Amino acid sequence: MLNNDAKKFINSQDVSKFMINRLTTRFILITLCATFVSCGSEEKEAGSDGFEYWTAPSIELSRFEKDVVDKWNSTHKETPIDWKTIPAGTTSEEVILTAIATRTGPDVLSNVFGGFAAQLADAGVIVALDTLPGFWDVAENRKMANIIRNNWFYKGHVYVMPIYVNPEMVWYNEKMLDKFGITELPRTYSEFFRLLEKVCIPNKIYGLTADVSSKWFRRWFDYLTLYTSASGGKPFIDVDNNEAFLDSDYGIAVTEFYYRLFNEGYAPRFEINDGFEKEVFFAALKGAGNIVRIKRLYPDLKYRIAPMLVPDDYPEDAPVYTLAESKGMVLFESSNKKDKAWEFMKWYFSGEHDSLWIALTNYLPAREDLTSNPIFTSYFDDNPDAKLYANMMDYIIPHVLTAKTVEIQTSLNRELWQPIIFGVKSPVQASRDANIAIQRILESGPKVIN
Amino acid sequence: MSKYPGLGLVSLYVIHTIIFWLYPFLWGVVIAFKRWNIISPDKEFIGLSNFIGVLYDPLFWISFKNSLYFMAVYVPLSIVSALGVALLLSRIKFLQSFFAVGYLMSYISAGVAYSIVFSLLFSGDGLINTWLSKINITIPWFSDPDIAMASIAMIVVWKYLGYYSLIFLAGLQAIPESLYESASIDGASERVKFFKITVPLLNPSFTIVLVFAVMLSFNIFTEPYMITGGGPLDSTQTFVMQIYHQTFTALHAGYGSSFAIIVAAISFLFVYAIRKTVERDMA
Repeated sequence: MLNNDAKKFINSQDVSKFMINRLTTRFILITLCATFVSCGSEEKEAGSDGFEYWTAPSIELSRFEKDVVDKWNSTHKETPIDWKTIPAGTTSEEVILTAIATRTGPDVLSNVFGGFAAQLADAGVIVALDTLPGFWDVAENRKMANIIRNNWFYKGHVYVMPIYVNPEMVWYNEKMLDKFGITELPRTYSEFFRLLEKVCIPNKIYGLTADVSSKWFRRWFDYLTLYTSASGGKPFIDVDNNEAFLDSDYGIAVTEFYYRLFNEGYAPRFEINDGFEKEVFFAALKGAGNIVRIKRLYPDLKYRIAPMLVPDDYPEDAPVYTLAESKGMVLFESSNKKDKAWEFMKWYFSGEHDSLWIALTNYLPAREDLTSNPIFTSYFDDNPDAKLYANMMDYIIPHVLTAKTVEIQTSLNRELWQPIIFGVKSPVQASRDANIAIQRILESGPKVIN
Repeated sequence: MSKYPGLGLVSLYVIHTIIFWLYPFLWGVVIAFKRWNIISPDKEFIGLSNFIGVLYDPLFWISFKNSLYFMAVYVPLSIVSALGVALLLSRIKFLQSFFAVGYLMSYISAGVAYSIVFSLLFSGDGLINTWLSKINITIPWFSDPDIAMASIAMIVVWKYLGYYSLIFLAGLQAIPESLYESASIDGASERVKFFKITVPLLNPSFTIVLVFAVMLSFNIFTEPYMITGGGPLDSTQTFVMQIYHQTFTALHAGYGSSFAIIVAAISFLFVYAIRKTVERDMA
C-alpha cells in the first residue's frame, strides 16, 4: 500500500506528464497554425492588385516618397503601392541581393547605382525598360533622353530610369581665403599647392579632405572625380574594349596630385570626421547634397564653391567636367504586376514631381532643363549654391556602368590609393600597377583565379 | 513514461541545427565547386577551380599573415590578462559574482556598437589622442599599417576578457584547497604554489581558452570591418572579411564558399595541433 508521499509523487508525475504532453501538442498546433497563416498571407499578397516599392532609408527621400506614394494611392485605388524603405543592413545592395535570393524583393526599387544595376542586368533579374511601351516618351517629356542615351545604356539596353545626380565640386573655407587675402580661386594643381603653402599649418590645418579608408565606393568621391576632370570627361575604363587608362598622362597627373597631398602633409593619413566643417581643412570635394546638411549642422561655416581642379596643362578655355553620383529606379523581372508597376514608373517620371523632389531632398533631378525650366526657378533663387551645381549639368559624367565596379575599385584601392597615401609606390608605378590589375579584371570572366 | 515529450523538446535543437547549420554547410560545400553569383539561377560546375583560385589569391596569403600577427598579439595578451583577472576575482570573497558579471558586460556588448565607440575614441582626432597630444604624443592606432592589427587585437582582448576570466575562475575554483594547504605546510612559496599547483591544474582551462582564442584569430570580422575596413595597406584584412567581400559584395558565392572551407580546414589543423601539444589528461 502506498503512503501519502508516494501517492503525491505519482500524482505529481502524472500531472507533469500530462502538462508536458499538453505543451507538446500545443507547440505542434501553434507551429502548424503559424505555417498555415504564413502560407495564407502569401497567397493573399499574391492575389492583391497592388505591388511593392522600395526606396532609400533616408529621411529626406522618405518625405518625398511618402508624399508621392500617398498621391498615387489616392488616385489609383485599384493598384495600391505597398511602400517600404530598404531594410537596414551594411549596404542597401546587400539587403536587396538577399531579398532577391530569398524571393522577398520588391517589384520596383529606387536608389540603384549603375554598377549594381549592371550586376542585376547581367543576372537577368531586372527589366530592360527601353523595351516597354512609352519609354522614350517618358524620357523626352522629363528632358532626360540625352542623359539616358549618353550614360545609361548597358549592353544595348536601358535598365535604369535615372532619378537624380549629385555632382562634386570644390569647397573652400571662406574665412581662410579672407585671412590670406585670396580673391581668385585656384584652377590648376600648381595654383592649389601654392595656396596650401600659405594656408596650411603642419598637423593643424590641412589642405584637402581625402578619405583614407579602403572602402571601394569612396574612390568615386576623390580619385575618380579628379580623374574625370583631368581627362576632360573621359571615363577611366572602356568596358566595351576592356581597356583601362589610369596610366595615361592625366591619370598619372591625378595620382601625382594625391601623392604630393599626402606625402607633403597637406592631407592626414587618418580620418578626421567633418574636418572641413570643423575648419581643420582649407578645401573639400563635396556634392550638392551637402549644402542643406551643412546649413543645418554648421550654420556658421562660410565657404565658396568652385569647379574641380585640373592638371597644369589642362586648356584654359576647355570646360571642366566632374563626376556625379547618379541613382535611379529599376523594375524586377520577378514582378507579376509589371504592367501596373510600369504605369507607376511612367507616372513617377512624368516630371510633375521634380519640383517637390528638389525642394524636399535637395538632390538635383537628372534632367537637362534644370536651369531653364521655371518649375525650379524659385528653388534656385532660394538656394544659389545649388544653382552652381545645376549650372554644371552639361559637364556632369556619371559613374561607369559595369558589373565589375566593386572589383575594379577594390583593386584601385589596393594598387594605387593605399600605396599613394603611405608613399610606398611612386605615382607612375601605382598608376601602372592599378592599370594592369584593372585591365585584368576587365578581361576576365566571373572570378575563379585571381 | 512516453519518450515523445523528450523528443519533442530535443527536436527544437535538432531542427535549428539542420536549418541553420547543416543545410548551409552542405550548401556551402556544393557551391564551392560552382561558379554562382547568388542572384542568378545558373550555377556552372567548375571542379576545383575555386579552391585553386583561393590558393593563388594574394589576399588569401595577406589575410593568413595578418591572422598570425593577430594571434601573436591576441593569444598571449588575452590569456595573461584573463588569468590575472580570474586570480583577482578568486581572492574576492564579497560580491564575487557581481564583479565577474561586470567583466562579462564587454562580452555581451554589440560588436558594431563598441567598434564605432573605439574607432571614435582612438581616431586621429579622438579622445585618446587629444589627451596624448598634451604630452606631445599622437599614436596612429588604426592608420599605421604596423600597429593597426595590434590595436584591433587589444579591443578584442577587452571584449573577451570577462568570458575567458570566467573559464579560468571556474578552473581555479575546481582546484582543491587542500593542495595549497599541504604545499604551505611543506614551506612552498606563493610563486612555487602558482607554478607547481595552479598552472598545471588549470590545464583544461588553458586548453579551452587557447582553442577559443586561436579559432577567433581565424574568424575575426566585426572589429576590422567596422574600424579599418581592412586597411591601411591591407594590414587588417582578415579571412572572414575576404569571404564576406567575395560572396556578398563581389557576388562570387562559389569562390567565397571555397575560401571558407579552406579557412575552416586551417583553423581545424591549428586547433588539432594545440590540443595535441597542450592538452593533458587530468584524470
